[in-house]
Amino acid sequence: MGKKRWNIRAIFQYELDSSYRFPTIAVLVSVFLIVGAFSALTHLVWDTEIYSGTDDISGRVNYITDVVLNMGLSVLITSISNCVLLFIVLIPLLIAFNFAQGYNSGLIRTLLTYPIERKNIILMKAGTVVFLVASAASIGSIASVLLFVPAGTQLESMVLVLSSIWVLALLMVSVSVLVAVISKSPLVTSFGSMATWFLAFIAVTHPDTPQMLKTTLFPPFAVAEYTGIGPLWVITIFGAEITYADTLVGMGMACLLAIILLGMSYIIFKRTGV
Amino acid sequence: MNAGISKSSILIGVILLLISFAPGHITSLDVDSEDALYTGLLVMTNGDILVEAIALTNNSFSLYLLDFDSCLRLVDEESLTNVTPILAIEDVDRYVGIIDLPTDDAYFLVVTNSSTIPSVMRVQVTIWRATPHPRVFALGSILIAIGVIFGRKQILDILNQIQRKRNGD
Repeated sequence: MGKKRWNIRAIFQYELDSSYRFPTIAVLVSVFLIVGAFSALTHLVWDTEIYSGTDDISGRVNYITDVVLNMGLSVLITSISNCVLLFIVLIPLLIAFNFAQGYNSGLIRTLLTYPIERKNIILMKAGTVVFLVASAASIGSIASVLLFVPAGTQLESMVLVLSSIWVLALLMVSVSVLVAVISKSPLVTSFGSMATWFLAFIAVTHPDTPQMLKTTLFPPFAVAEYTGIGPLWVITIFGAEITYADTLVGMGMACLLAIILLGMSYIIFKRTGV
Repeated sequence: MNAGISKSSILIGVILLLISFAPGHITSLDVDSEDALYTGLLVMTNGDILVEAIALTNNSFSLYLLDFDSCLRLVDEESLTNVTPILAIEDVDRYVGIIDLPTDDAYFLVVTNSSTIPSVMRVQVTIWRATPHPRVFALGSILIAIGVIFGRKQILDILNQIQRKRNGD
């Protein structure tokens, strides 16, 4: 068990050293910090104008209290929603240049000469991208709240929002890995995956798309809809009300789909020559 | 410390310093009222704010900055009588300046008509975050300092290389 764990850590370290040399990770974190800052500085979810002369004074007091209590969460959701758009471009490129490119450069063949199972190669490549991209998005989004918004936020909702971006990263990476092992081409992987997610995004914005598909394909949008304080372009995606259970089921389905896609990638990777 | 981490720390620090100077437009308000006692904006930001308020009619106006509790009291009582503003700028037709917010909290910037006689008043208020954003600037500076301190060996190596090249070695 100890040897196996050391092995995985060593493989992960090898992947970081070989594929993500300076300044790749620093640039990745910087990009998401910029997205987070942009989201916080242009954040206009709430109507903050307040006038005198209303009959519903208690309603107005409740509204002001809601705005103050939820501002942090609202900025976090806006930042995460913007990160989703960046994921559509970034994840296919990372998989294309760190995995699909390996077929042409001979890196995959070199890796197979080491005592590393094919399963571990897939997990190493996919896991590193998921970890780097999702943690960079989480750092950028949390920084946007901590650095620009004074009030705190509810921990439970924050965990839900951040979990949704990790699940989406896992799903997007699994799709890109599948395209990579099928095509063995960086160009097809990058453009094929981008096109797939772009079409998925268009499908999600269509009113007739089943709600289950929407919550599965884009869990962060489902969470934004559930909390009701996301940016307007996200809130309008879902026609009906989303419950807490819907968001959890959506994330569960997305995880399941990602595992199935990674399993398929492993089978194809095992049966095809390099 | 690993040279890569040291360089990454400097790079992220520089990016944060650049972000700290990014302009942040918070909100704008067009006060256009005759009977309203007050019109205000809820402001939530870290650091100071830059406020520009210009009267578009001949009336003068007053600006008050209230903390969150005073804001709720104002909304509840619909009166400025029992409210203690943090800042009061009264009877002006133009105000441009940086307002120091005492702590990181929610504030309410209120605009009222200075005249006791009801009259049409139009005031345009725009609020920006004052730059540099203090927390971003501080974090960026700390990261650069950490990167420089832990990467000083690499920096000294680079300086030595430059020195050697100058000396023609």
